[in-house]
Formats: sequence, C-alpha cells, structure tokens
Amino acid sequence: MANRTIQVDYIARVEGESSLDLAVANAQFDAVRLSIFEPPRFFEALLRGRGFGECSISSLESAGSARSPTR
Amino acid sequence: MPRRTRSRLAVWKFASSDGCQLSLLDCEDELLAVADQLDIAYFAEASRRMMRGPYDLSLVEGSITTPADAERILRVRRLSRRLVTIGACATSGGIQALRNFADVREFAAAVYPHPEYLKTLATSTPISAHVPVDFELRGCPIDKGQLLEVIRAFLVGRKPSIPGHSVCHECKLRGTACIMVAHGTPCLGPVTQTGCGAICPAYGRGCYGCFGPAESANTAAIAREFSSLGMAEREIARVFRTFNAAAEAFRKESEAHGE
Repeated sequence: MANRTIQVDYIARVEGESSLDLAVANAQFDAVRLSIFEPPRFFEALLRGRGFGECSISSLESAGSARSPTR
Repeated sequence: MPRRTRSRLAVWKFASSDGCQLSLLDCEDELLAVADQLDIAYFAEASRRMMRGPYDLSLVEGSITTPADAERILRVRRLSRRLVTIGACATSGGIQALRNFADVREFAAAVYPHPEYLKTLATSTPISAHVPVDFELRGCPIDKGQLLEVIRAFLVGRKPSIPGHSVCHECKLRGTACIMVAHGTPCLGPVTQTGCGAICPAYGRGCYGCFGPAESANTAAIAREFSSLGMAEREIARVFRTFNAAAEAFRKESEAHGE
C-alpha cells in the first residue's frame, strides 16, 4: 500500500477547533499530529467560588440562540 | 441586464464558543433569503468551501486572547469592507475576560496539567481594542432577529436599528411584573441593554446582564438597591463580573465593591 498523508485543516466542532495530520505507510500510522488552536477560556478556573445560581448554563455554553427558560 | 454582483459575507471566530455565529444557521426560516441576497464566502462552521477575500461584510465572534489571534484580527480587518462584532466576547471580552481581574498563569495551572503548551495572553480584549469596528452587536448569545437586522442594514448601507434602552422597557412591554419590586429579587435589568426579550424576569429570575450595560446605566443606584435587599459587597461585585465583566460600566461598578 502506498504512503498516504491525510490532512484535515479545520475540525470545526470537537470541543474546540483543531487540525489533524495523519501519515500512513504500509497500512500503519507513521505519525498522527493533532493541533488544537481553539484559545483556552479557563471555565474551570473562573467558576471557582461561584454559586450554581450565578451560572447561566446556556450563556456559559453560549449554545446557539436556543433559549432555555431556566437560563 | 447583467446580474448584480452579490455582497460577500465572512464569519470569523476568535475566543468564543461558536454560539453566536451558529445563530446565523439557526435562522432556519430566513436562511434561504439571506443566502439569496449574499454569498456566504467564508464560514468554517457551515461550509468547507472557503473563498478568498476581500469580503463586503465580516461578522466577528470572540475576543482576542492569544498572540496569534492579535495578528489574525489585523488581517481580517484588512480583508473586510465592513466589520461587525457579534456577541459579548467580541464586544466586551466575554466571560473569559474574568482573567483580567486575576493571574492568567494561576488560571492555566488550575485547569491544565501542562500549561506550558498554552500560548495565551494575560487579558481578554474586545475586537475594538485592536481594530476599528463598524458596529457591535451585543448579547450572550446574540438575538437572531437583531443579527438579521444588522445584515439587512449593511446590505443596503444604512445604520442598523438596534435599541439601546434597558431590559426594564421590555418587561413592561411583555407585561411582566417587576420581580425586584414585587418579590425583592435582585435584577440587572435596569442597567442592561435590551435585546433578549427580557426572558429571565419572565421566569422569576433576575437579569444576568448578558447584553451588557444599557445607555447611561446607573450602576451605582442599582448596587445600592442590591445592598438594601441584603446582598453582600462581594456578591454585588460578582453580579457585575460575568459575560460583560470588562465592559466599562460593569467593570467600574464591580471594582467599587471590593474585588
């Protein structure tokens, strides 16, 4: 089997954005390189010391414009 | 007669969660009409077809938190005839601007086992701190009706009609009894710009301030009211420290309460 390189430049929504390079030689992965370029936002750090009532879940996730009545 | 060249739209993401740009895809009933009026030339969340610039209208989501993004926004501005920020992150720095009041190295160490792999700035800043911005659309997340209004306005070259008044007006229009007056529930509605439709008070929850400070917001007066309702100074500081913590009026008020 010929050598192949598979490049995925933009993975849009797998818990952040990233790219993936795979090098395949003789049906074996020679190299796998995952690059996460999504900037970190440190949610786990900035939620410390907050009550659950302070946290608007849909806003924290900014989950589209779908709105929950309990946000 | 030759077909008029259509405007080219680009959608960009910086430090954010995609929620605001997905509001565009959430315009299910209107999406075909939007796509009929303009070419969606660059929108990585929607299509792998990425056309080169320049673009007539760029929608920018997210704040600037990495050295690479501080460079990238300059390139996006050069490629864009009009640039509109969408959402609290792009407009005020977002929830991640809470790092501006803390030590980002401590944040990184608290979250990641190997923070040395991260390239991150000490602050989260809005797009307007880096490049000129033609319009800022508020909200966490934005309202899709307001987004359509902005796109419509820029297509014909007029100013978007987005109200700057407070959430209180919206409660009156909905017929929601004031939860602060009637139930003593602390609410940021009087100092927060409308746009959400005053959802939270309608369900008995005080406004979180997702759309940021309203025009001439009297934050000191609302803070006094919170205090008389029994909130501690630290709690008052924290209600101003959320999605728009770095917006001028909210930042100043939180700093006046000891944090």
